[in-house]
Amino acid sequence: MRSRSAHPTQRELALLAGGDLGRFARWRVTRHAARCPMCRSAVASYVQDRRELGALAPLPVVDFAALGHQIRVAAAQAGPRRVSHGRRRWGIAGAALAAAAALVALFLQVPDTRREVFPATPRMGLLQPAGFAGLPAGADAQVTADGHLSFRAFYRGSGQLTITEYYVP
Amino acid sequence: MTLDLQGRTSRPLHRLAGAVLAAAAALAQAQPSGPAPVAVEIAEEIPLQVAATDFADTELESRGGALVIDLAGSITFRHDGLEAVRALTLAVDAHAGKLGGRAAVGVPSLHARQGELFEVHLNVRLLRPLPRPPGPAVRIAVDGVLFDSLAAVGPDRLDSVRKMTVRELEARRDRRYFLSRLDTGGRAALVEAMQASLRRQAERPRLEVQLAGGGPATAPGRGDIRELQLALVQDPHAPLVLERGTALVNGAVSDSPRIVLRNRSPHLAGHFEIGWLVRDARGVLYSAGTAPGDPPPALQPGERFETRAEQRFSLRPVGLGGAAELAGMAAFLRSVQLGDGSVWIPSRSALDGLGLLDAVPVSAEEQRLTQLYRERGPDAVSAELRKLTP
Repeated sequence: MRSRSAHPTQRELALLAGGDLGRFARWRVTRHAARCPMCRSAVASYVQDRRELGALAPLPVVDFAALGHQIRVAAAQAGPRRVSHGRRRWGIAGAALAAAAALVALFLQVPDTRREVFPATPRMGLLQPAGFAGLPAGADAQVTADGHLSFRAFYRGSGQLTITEYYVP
Repeated sequence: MTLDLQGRTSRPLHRLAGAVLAAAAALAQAQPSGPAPVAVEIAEEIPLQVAATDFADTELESRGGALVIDLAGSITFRHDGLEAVRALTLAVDAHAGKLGGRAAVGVPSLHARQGELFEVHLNVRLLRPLPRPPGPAVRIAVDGVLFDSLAAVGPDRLDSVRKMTVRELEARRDRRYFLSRLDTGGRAALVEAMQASLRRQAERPRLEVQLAGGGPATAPGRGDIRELQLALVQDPHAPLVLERGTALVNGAVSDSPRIVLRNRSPHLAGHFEIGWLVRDARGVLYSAGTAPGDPPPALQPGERFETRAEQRFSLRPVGLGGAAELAGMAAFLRSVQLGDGSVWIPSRSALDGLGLLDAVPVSAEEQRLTQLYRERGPDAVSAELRKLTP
């Protein structure tokens, strides 16, 4: 049995801020908040949080077909493996977990792909002329016939690949 | 102090005006002073127009006695010529006479028809000495444009036309290969070929390549200097034959190799590129790129030539801890420009047969197609192959 002086629960205060309490509960909590500065302040905080959340950018539309394709490509890159039944179950579960993690990461971060550049090759290969740090980390540079260094970069979105040569005088 | 219409002082307005003025002053300080940092130039004979530029993300920063220019942005061109553009090279100059002051950005695998727009992305870090010049900090010029017929136009100060031609021929070779897989084995065969290429790219051993400063490896006091004999990988269809090659190495540092070759074709041979491979103590083969060396103006049939270059390079396999040691080297012919202007490149089957496919980087076109496959799937690749292959 609730005592007359008992505060509403945090859940009730949050639901009040969102307008989601039933009629009687709304009356009861509102009446209490009118006389209780602490609960009134809590409701105001929840109202502010709702306002700030509403101002955030909408979640991206996920192309699940493309995501599924990328996951299949990544899985196929591991090459063929012989696994026992037990390992195969773990392998499938592991792949499912990885896919779920990828989905979570996608929702948490929306990369700006318009200008994103990443070295066109997946492995790290640092190339820097002595005393000059112009080449991006991870660039797989090659020596040219002129004795210069060239590397490739791939631009997401446009799908364009460029080849940059740094000239050594 | 400002007055409102009734003559009363308005302190809030005064504070607001002060805040606006302060913000404007701060904004003016934050803006880079001087003219726009980038200028784009196109020679008259090139049928391109600049439709738009966007270098808002470019940053200039003074560090010590140098100006570091992080050039980031894009140029949108409109093609006004009749023939489709296949490739483009831009010369990017901040200070051509110094290390880090010049770069070239090549864009292969374009397909811009008359009237079409295409965007070229740039992400280049350059250096130039202070003080900052009065004009643009960076000048970008179109150095060469390659068309569908392999004709080209432009100043070609950076040997762009030859490089674009080689890349375009490699692109056509590799597109034909993937298209043949698609035509003979269907979608599944194309997927298999794409997967194999991606695996090869991921597994290809990498080198850390750095310029090793001036002076040959044979300078006194440089420690244990050895002369390596290069293993020569011969393509029986190549117009030039590699006869012998040596390089002076000291640990992981190597002078530019010296390679003797002979023109066995009945034609004049001009510029050539020799692929340079190095082997570590574990026997793993790495691609270092192209053996540097100034080619002769023209190599007569039967004539011999020895490549020479002064650069030294540090070549360390990626992922190895401690000091690396170069245990061996190999060379193969990558391209030859013949006297009639045509260009020879090895066939894909020859590269495969010679065991080079796993060591040398894939062509820019193969890399682009496999990236397209990764992001949009085999149907997108199939459409691209059909579009670009007559």
